[in-house]
Amino acid sequence: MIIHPQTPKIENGEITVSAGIELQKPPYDFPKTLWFRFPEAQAEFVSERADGFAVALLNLALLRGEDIQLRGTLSPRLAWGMQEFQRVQSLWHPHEKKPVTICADDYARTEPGAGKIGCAFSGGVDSFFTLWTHLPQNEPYRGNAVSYGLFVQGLDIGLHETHTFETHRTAYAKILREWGVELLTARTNIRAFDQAGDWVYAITPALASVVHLLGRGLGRFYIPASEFYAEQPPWGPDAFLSALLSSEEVQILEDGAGFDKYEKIEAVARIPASYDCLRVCYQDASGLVNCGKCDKCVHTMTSLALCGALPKYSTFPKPLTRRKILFSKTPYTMLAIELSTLNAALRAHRYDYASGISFKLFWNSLRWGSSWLRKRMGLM
Amino acid sequence: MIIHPVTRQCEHGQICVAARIELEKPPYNLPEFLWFKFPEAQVSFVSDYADGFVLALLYLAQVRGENIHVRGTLSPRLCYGINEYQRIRNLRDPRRYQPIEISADRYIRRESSGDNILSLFSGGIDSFYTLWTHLPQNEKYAGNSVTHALFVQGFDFGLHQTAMFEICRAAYSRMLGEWDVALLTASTNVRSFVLGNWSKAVSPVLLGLAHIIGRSISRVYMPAEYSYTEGLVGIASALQYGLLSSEGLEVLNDGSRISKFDRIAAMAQVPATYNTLRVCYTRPDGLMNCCECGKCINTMTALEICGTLKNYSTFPKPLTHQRIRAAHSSYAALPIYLSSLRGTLSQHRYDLALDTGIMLLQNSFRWGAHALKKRFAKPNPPNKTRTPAP
Repeated sequence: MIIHPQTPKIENGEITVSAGIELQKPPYDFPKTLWFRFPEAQAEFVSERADGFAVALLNLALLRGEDIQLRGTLSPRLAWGMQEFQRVQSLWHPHEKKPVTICADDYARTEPGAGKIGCAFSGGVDSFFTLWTHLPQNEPYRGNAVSYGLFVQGLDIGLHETHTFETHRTAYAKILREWGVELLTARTNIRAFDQAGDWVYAITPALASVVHLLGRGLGRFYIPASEFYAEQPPWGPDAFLSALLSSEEVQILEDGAGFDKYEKIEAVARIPASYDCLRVCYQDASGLVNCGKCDKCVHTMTSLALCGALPKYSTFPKPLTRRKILFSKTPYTMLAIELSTLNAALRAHRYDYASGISFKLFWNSLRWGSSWLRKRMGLM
Repeated sequence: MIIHPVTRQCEHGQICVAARIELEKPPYNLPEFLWFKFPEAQVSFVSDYADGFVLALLYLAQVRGENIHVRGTLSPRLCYGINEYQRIRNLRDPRRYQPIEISADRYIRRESSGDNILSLFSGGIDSFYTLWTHLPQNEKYAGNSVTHALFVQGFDFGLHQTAMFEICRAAYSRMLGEWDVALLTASTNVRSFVLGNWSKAVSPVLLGLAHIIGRSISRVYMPAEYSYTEGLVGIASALQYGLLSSEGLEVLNDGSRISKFDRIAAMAQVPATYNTLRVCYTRPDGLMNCCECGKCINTMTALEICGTLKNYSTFPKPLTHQRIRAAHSSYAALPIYLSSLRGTLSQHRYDLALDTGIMLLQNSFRWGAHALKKRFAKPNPPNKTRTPAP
């Protein structure tokens, strides 16, 4: 895979940074260009380096087993980290991801970043938690406070969902302004380079790529962690992986992994600003409203109900019924998160919720078991 | 626990940075001052910040359940990382590590004042591997090469073992000089502050020292003990030390991409190690290894499989079946022994595989009792230091 960075262009009030992608083996059904667009007002943050493109395509290169050649300059720190990152990925997914060689025309260290700190912000529980805890008024260590939030279209919000993105952008910009944080935005077609079903693994390098392209002047960037340090996916929590994708300029840190999901939801439920704009749904979100039916919505609603805060949330207009708790489908990857809510329900002596979650986990476990068996037997 | 302002003194050709440590609860049987000494020629590297002192005392504070307050400045990035790191230790072993709070009079971001890259160096397999792979001639990515290595007295070499330390320092200084890497040295009394298992405390202490000597250093490589799949808690074992970075000094765990056996096999091809490889920490004698402890035996077994054990003058005693079988190994090192076992099998050295298997079986009885004891230990209640309260 050869990456040809192109000269940034300014048109229609947007700066476009892009790279031509030359694949070296089939299938070739990917776009020819990977692009990122930023409002012109954010010009001071846009980097002219090509580091972000290499990170953006790392996951695809691993899936295709195709070496990366960057026709540009790469940060040696990032090159080291990408090697380590791909090593971990290929250990976790030995059949799907093959180690690749990463090389560039030139290697040059990036300048150490200024003191500003950014944070990815999607409007979900993890984002709210990370942003809130790092606001100047809440941050115990002066110097760790967040100055910028980053909201991206093209990751969980599709490029065609402009209305949804704009509704969120307006709402989040207003909240963040009140907190003294500036909202940066970006659009990208990076998801077109994702292979079906692998987005959950591709999201970290995708976010890191935006950070490298829009991170000029940032010294640190928090990616809200979705996992808890005590959870044990295949070989330990993956909350450390993002840090590998740092450069000399910007340290990327996954933040919030010291708390389980229920603890975070409980904390966010005490932030009034979240009542009208908490967005957790990735299946059928429309504007600032969550579908209230998918596993993620039902889990969040259950946790909020346990905290007694669900009625305050206008973004969950549909009621949480016992039927939803009992029968919502939940993937195996959500098990640890569901267990955190179950434990909280037991601690609060809410046996109605506890029994509902237990039942849901029981029947879902049969589904997971059969799915695992079918996969094992090659039927899937 | 209060860390009083860091002081700096020059005497007898050495710079001594020290801080008075005030304990808040008994037992008080610890030295009054924690100090680090460096040759005066290294003056441009030595920092006056308290960052390194906090890391050096973190294990003690967590074991005693005593908050740390610094009468001075701390890096906010490091404070953030220490809180994450101590949380991981508390979750992993709540009986041993209590959650504590860390505070300082002031918080100031550290600016990097140099582009030097430091590698921690003890003369063992992991540090040789990291150093060797990051030498300019071996480094794949220009800009990642090591410029300095740090060798310390007061860790595995006691402060009274000056002659032994000097033998090693001279040998390593000569070797590194040929590789265009400058050897930095330090001595410290930090080990007097670690009451208990030194192996659990050594990593943050070592990184604390790197922060103290890191004024013109932007990156430090921490040679990895475990590979990404060998650690008992997976990649967290390997990558958690990155948390202990500051704004100006980034800590990178290096070498986890391959197993311990593969690292030994790689170093077995480097002739410079034949007279300088030093892995023993139970009865080290200058550059000589005891050839009897678990670590020596594991390394010798791997070198034997690679066919280079006979080249090593630092392993003077022969590797016998009896020695392998009788070796005492810790449960934490099990993945390392297993990687050697896989190595013996892949090279069809079934005699060595049998001996290693017997050794592991014998040790497993000891581990079993230990695991049972740990399993039924009562955890300390968690203490959250960062809960939002709107």
